[in-house]
Amino acid sequence: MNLVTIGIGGIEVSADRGAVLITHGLGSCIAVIAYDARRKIGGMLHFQLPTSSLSPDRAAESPGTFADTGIPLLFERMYALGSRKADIVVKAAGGGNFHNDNGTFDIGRRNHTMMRKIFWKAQVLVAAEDVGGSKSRTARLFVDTGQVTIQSGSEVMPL
Amino acid sequence: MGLDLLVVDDSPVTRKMVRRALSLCGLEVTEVIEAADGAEALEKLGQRHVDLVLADINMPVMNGIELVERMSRDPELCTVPVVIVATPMSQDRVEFVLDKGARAYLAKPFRPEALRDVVVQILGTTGGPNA
Amino acid sequence: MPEPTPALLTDILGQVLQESAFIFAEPDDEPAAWQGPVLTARIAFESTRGGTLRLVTTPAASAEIAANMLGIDPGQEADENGRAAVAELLNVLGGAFLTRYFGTAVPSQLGLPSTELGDPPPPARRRCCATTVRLESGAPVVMELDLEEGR
Repeated sequence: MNLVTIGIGGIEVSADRGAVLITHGLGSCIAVIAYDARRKIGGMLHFQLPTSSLSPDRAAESPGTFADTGIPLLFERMYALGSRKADIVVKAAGGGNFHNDNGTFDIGRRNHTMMRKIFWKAQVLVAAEDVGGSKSRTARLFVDTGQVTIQSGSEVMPL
Repeated sequence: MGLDLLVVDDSPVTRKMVRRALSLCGLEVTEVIEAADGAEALEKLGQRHVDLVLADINMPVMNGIELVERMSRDPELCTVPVVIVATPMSQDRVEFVLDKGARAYLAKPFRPEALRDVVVQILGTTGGPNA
Repeated sequence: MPEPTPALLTDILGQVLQESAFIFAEPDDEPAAWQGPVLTARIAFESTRGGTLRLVTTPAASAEIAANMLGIDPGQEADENGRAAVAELLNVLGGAFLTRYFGTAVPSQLGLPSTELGDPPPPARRRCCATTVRLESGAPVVMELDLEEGR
């Protein structure tokens, strides 16, 4: 098994059937998990903030930090391995609510809303998601099968 | 066989949003027909068969509740399922609409996957070739 | 039942803009300074008390809302759908307000939304309560509530 770890702001894609893409410590960040079952290509993005307008310099250096620059890049990286948009299934996890001072405009919700806005505009369905709440999550994608699991503490659930 | 669906809402923006949601939600849709109120919906239903109706409640001319009632009384239309897609409403009103014959209620704003789930739950198919 | 507060309207407006149009709206304590015509949408409601909700914004902001709701770029189609988008937004806001303020256990009914392009409302218009938020573009959206006296 080839474990590929994705850090904050990281994007990885793989066509290696032995690969498992994994990202840890998803709090208000969101992991976007893309999978092309036809070609067995998997991809994962771990973005931290909703929009690159918050810091264009950082976006240029690390586009995966932001939803609006990271998500298109994830798809481009999938296409570069031969995948096609129509064959990509998207799942998402994270977007937790950890610093909710006023109960309304926390960063996890903003991340989630921005992600959904991008996919609504791009006409991509979010097939499944595990978002919100106040738990830390670890997301795994098994490239051979496309199985996605979300771990919180010792509990591991399929997504 | 793909699905033929009728979207009934007086808001052109909502009709476009439902169309977009249907186009991306994984259902095999052959045709989406639109009507701006219940009366126009009945007229279109008289002209052709659809697999399912997605209808708002608050509409001019004929509202969604009257549409559901009329369809329930019509031997040709009583088997066509109606899903109410409407603004949040009180529990008694939801029950009232379901009592009148609607098969399900989806609150606005809805997500595409919720629309897919309710359609698949009622029709038992995505409309795809392997369904 | 306590009287509705501007904070309640701010919360509902923020939530509905986020869920319906993927827009993050920031509350603004300053009243909107209108320049040029504004779009006003109205919807009446009946519950244990009747009343009216209004949404006031600029034509440009209505196009911004339409573009987000429809998932399209700004342009002619968004401009053409601005009025209908604000009307539909108010429709959803109406439902959200009725279920949040009066609850889901009492019968409530919404009317049909109407829109009008015209002069800005006078600043001292009598109303029960109101809130102003700003869209990402900075454009203001004002939500106003007129509520009949308690029965």
